[in-house]
Amino acid sequence: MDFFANLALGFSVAVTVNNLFLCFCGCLLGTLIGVLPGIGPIATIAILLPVTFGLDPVSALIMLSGIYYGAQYGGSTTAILLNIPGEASSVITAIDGHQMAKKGQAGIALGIAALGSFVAGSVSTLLIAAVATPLTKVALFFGPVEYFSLMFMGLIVAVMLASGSVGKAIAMVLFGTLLSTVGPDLTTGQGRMTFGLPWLADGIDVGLIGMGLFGVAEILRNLENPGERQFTEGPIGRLLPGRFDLRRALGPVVRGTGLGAILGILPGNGAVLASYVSYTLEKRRSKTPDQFGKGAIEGVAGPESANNAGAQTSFIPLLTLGIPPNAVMAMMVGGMMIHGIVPGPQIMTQEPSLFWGLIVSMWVGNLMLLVINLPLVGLWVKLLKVPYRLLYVAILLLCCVGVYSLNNEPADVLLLAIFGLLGNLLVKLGFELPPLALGLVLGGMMEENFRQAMLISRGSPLVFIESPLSAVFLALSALWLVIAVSPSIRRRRNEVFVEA
Amino acid sequence: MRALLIRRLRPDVAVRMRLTKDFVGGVLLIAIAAVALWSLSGLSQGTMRVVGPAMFPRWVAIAMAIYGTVMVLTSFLREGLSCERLTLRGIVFVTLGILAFAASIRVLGFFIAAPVLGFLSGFAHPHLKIRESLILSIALAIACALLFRVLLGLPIPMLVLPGVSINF
Repeated sequence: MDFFANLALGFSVAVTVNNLFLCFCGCLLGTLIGVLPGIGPIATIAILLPVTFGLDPVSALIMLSGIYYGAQYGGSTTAILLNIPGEASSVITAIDGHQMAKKGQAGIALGIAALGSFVAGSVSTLLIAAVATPLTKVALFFGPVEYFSLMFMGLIVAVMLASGSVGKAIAMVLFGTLLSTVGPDLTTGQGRMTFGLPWLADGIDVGLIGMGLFGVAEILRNLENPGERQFTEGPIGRLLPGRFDLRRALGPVVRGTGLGAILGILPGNGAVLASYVSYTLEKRRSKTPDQFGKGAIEGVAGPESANNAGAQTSFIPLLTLGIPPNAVMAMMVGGMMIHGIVPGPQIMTQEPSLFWGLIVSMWVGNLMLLVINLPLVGLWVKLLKVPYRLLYVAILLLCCVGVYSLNNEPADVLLLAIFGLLGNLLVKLGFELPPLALGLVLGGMMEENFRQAMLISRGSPLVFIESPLSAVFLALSALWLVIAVSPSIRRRRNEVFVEA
Repeated sequence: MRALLIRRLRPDVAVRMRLTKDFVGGVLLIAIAAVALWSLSGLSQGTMRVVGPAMFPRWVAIAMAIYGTVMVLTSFLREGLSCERLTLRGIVFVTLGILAFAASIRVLGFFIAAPVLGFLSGFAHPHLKIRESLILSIALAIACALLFRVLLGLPIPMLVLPGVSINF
């Protein structure tokens, strides 16, 4: 019965005029920024963080998750209409979605993406509500030793699931970790790597790095090929899929939801992987696999559902264990910290209204996306027609204002430029940036847990093997490493990413 | 470097010297690690029992340097992708715009900083239209002022004149 009582508590928090309005604004703003070409969810969240300043923590969190869903959905819209996937997870949607748009079925593609996402979002929200309580209880058995090993395993898995070179992903995790140590030491308060600069004394804000690496760097990259994008002119067509379309999409949506819900919990880009796997699966199952790539509705419905289910269940490790499983969640941690919320098992026990309010607002957010996005498609299309030479100036200004308002510190804006240039350089050299963002948040947590573990064990590193749970995590990490290095798996991994 | 090897072994093959991504990437990692290690040099490492401020970042930096070295060494042995050319126009004007914003936001205020950023960064795009860029910069500044100052009430100085600070 607890389950329903908790949900009722959640509804009482989330369904107030104020919070519904904020959730609405969040979804709208998230889609607005997320729809802009080249702006993925990470940059969207970072750019919109300042908008939540001045709200109380519960409302801020609700708005933040609205932004998150809006950002996720905005990427699909650009993928379908423009063939520009704003983020890795809508690369797959672009394949068949854009073909449908070319055939004059853009509306149906957008509609099925929204419907599939809603179904997937609803199911996985229920899943989160169901597993949250037991998982939080498990988390209470974890001490610093277990946490350290769990995070280590998380980083290893995340690195293995990265689409590029494993070594370079590790290098980026290390760089992120190094950046996380800038600022005051946890125990002595001594400044580390601050070069005596007062504006580095408190460390570098996660949101700032996010805006630099994923906002400014992306603008610099887009400015290299400034040729205007071609927009598929043509009718959007009707938005609601017919009965025939729905019947074709039902299976892919259900299977995609299942795949996404499971893979989303994995560290790294689980949601991205889910959309790839879903596409491959639907293509194999299909009686007409040759239709894939030419505008098959299954190729939109499955991956979109998988992606959204994954985006949803990646909240599970964050909310129950306090560990962000991917770069987008790392940004969410940054946002929560600003409002004084430290994600982890203690939230559910100490602030049940915040926890369950958030869960219910996730579902409300999904519903809102469905309700506001379909009627607003015309508006997003108009926005996409704005030439890039105007858009990037607006994005740049938003980034600058956002960064300045983090601490009202002009030097932060300077850092924004530095991280923009650095991000551009790293991408050019073939490094992926999401592992850096993950390292930035997880690395800091790992240091804290490592030092506590050493204090408890009186300086014996053996403690990581002596604790049975920790030993299991480390053994699993080692297993993952061995698997990843073995050539046959490596080939398979590349296949999954290339095939689709 | 690989080119040097090939040149010595096969003098008949014409090979151009080129920088590979892996070589430059490795050098970059080593450089970052070196800066980090240098800046940590005055801090105590602590003991395993009471870990000092420098231990964790130092290990991380050393790991980065090791990987960077591996990248540099393997880049000599393996054929890698060449570095892409940097397109300077975008980089220069976007950076200039942001720097101008940083320099002027507190001294002159948002109504100077924002249009200057908009105008300067407009030059980053090859299809620049000066008049359009001017109008856009001013319109964006007003829109942002409404959103961040009026609607959200963030404490951003709007216009600072010598001697008087105007915050509406």
